[in-house]
Amino acid sequence: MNRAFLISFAACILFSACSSAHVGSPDVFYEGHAGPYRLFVTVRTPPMIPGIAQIEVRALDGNVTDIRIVPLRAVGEGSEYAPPSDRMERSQFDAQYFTGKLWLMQSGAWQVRMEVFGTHGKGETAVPVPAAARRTLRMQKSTGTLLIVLILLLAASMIAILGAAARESQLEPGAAASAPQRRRGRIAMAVTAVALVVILFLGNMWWNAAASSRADLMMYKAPPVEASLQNTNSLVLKMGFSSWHDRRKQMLLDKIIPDHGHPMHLFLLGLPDLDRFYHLHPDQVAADTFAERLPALAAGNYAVFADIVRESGFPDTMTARITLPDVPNNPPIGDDSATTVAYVSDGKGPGTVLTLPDHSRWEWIIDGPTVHARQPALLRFRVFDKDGKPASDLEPYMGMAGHLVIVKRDLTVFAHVHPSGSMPMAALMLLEKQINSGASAMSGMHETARPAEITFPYGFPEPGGYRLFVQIKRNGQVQTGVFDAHVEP
Amino acid sequence: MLTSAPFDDWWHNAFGLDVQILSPPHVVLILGIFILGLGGLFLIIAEMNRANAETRAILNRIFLHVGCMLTILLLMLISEYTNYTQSHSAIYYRALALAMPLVLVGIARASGYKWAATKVAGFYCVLWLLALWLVPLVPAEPKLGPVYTRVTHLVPMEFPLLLFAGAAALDFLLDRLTGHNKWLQAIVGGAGFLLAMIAVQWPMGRFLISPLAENRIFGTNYYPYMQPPSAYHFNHEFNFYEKSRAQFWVGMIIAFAAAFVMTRIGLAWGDWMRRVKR
Repeated sequence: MNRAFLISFAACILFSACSSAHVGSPDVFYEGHAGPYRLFVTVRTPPMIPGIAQIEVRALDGNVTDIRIVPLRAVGEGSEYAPPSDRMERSQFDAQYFTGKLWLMQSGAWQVRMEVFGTHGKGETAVPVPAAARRTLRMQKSTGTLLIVLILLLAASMIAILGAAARESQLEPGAAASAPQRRRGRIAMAVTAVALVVILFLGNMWWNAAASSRADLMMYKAPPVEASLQNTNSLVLKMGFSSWHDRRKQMLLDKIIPDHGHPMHLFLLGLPDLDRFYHLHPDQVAADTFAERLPALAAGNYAVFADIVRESGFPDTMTARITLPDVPNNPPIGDDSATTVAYVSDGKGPGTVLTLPDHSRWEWIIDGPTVHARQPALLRFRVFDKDGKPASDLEPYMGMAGHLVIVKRDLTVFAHVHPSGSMPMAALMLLEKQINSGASAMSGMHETARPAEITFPYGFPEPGGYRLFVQIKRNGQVQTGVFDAHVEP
Repeated sequence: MLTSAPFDDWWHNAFGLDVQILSPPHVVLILGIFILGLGGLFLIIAEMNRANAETRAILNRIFLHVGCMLTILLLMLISEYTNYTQSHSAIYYRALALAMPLVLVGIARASGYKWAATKVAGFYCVLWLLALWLVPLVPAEPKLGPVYTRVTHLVPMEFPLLLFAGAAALDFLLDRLTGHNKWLQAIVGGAGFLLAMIAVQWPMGRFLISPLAENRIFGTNYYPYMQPPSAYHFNHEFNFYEKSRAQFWVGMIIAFAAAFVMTRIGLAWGDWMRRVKR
């Protein structure tokens, strides 16, 4: 048995986990233009579909007076006709902050269409929102207690009614029941009691079965993916069957489409310290198979996060783990990039600073003394030359001013964010075709006005330790800045 | 009915809004409504059984009306299985056999008047036809997305089942078999009900999926807002529930057995109601 085979065998996946678009980071963050107005939109998706999405909008530029929102399917059937739009509520304390809510009735790719009114007239935009059920609710104790009391009351009433029916229903009004009739009544009550116990038992069985099949039907699971190494340096990812996706083929339009030029964005993170970071772009060699020649890579365990986008704009992040041997010395090619973390800035802030080997300086500008969970914010990063001047040689990296990968230390959160937001650019571009607002889907590029500062709209979903990988391109070279952050509750 | 409210609220919070009719909380609700209707029946029947002929005739109309409401309720409960596109599947007849003979026979027996079950089924049919023809006159628009089909008026339920055929078979056969053994009545009545339903619904289903039914009279040209155009074709083709011929015939045998058992229970229930005096 040759070594390559052994390696490939050993390198099979250890597990593949459930995730949503990103992993553990279900909310949508968007920064972009609605006509003349620059908005920061947060869509907090409901844990169960159908459910209510909470929408928050902050107007960053311009005087916005009114916003109307409406949910539509992102593309295809259901994207053409809208129900009546809802008016967002304007905050009493902050005139540029608006809140609203919308029902998302089905899983899949949605858009929240927004009409924005203000002193500069009307603007329009659409934010892609992937909807997928994440969890069911446990029954609250108070509801359970109430239901038990009601069941007992109903059961007692039923026993009493059927007892009375057997005992005296055929007597003339006012006539007293005889001893045999009273006995018949008691027998009827006993039989009813036994029947009710049987009915409740069977009902409970049915309830449990219905609840479990309902949960199974609704709950999102990313497709499983099997990662293996072939021919010493070729990483192959094979997607498995997902019943959740299979049931929703019609809605997801589940063909995979390129997201800024690549069918898959693959991230390998060195375990356990997240000290090696690879951003790769495997080719799609079959409908469910992706392959890539690995760049030089140190042996070890890696967490695999593979982002794909469906034809409807619905994203999936598939996860796996793999053990890899040393891979020979190939440099990353094309849009691929690799970083070994030697220089880390600690995001205890405010104003955390990082210096790269080329002596360029990166700053993460944090508003306030700490970063808090579930607070949407623009994460701002500035890049300076070695002589301290704002960098002027930033180039688009795969069409974006920058890429940000956020990973929680325990791997329960993974997000791939761009200056336009947390949604895939492919999803945003699909919506741009429908809206003629003049705003560019590639609005990450509006940063050209401030070339040395890149912003990413995001809110950390939960407290804990995170590692942020910020990627930009300068002079044809991809650079990765690594920041650590401790997010407070 | 009140019990189902917190249960249903929790169910929808836990599993989302759904269009499933036969969910556990909905069954609790329907049972509540059904038992309320039964209470109404018992109150009326007790009065009927003590009344003179003239009052009895008036009370009988109210009794049959309440009976019709219970029939409609049961039809709603089984409506997931009695769509006309399923009328060439055994599940359609299983559902009918489980739900209908019990209530139709029980009401007819307790009423004691001729053609009582036929009147109940006929009244349902008239109500349903009126709904089918009048409901679309009410302007309406969907308030929730996704809107797959543009809708400007209320969308009615489908063309009613021709239940009066089965009910007439029950009325006729049970009337002819008066005085015979009740098990025999149940076998003949149940089989007659089901055969009559198959005789009318089988060709009716074929007609309803045809383009001839796509009009205001038969209503197969109405599509709700949540039905995408790509799914319109489902309204015009049969949905075969059983995946093999063997499954179909097993289903049909179960349907006949259910019709027999439910007719027998209906007879016992109806005869008991005839004797209720308070």
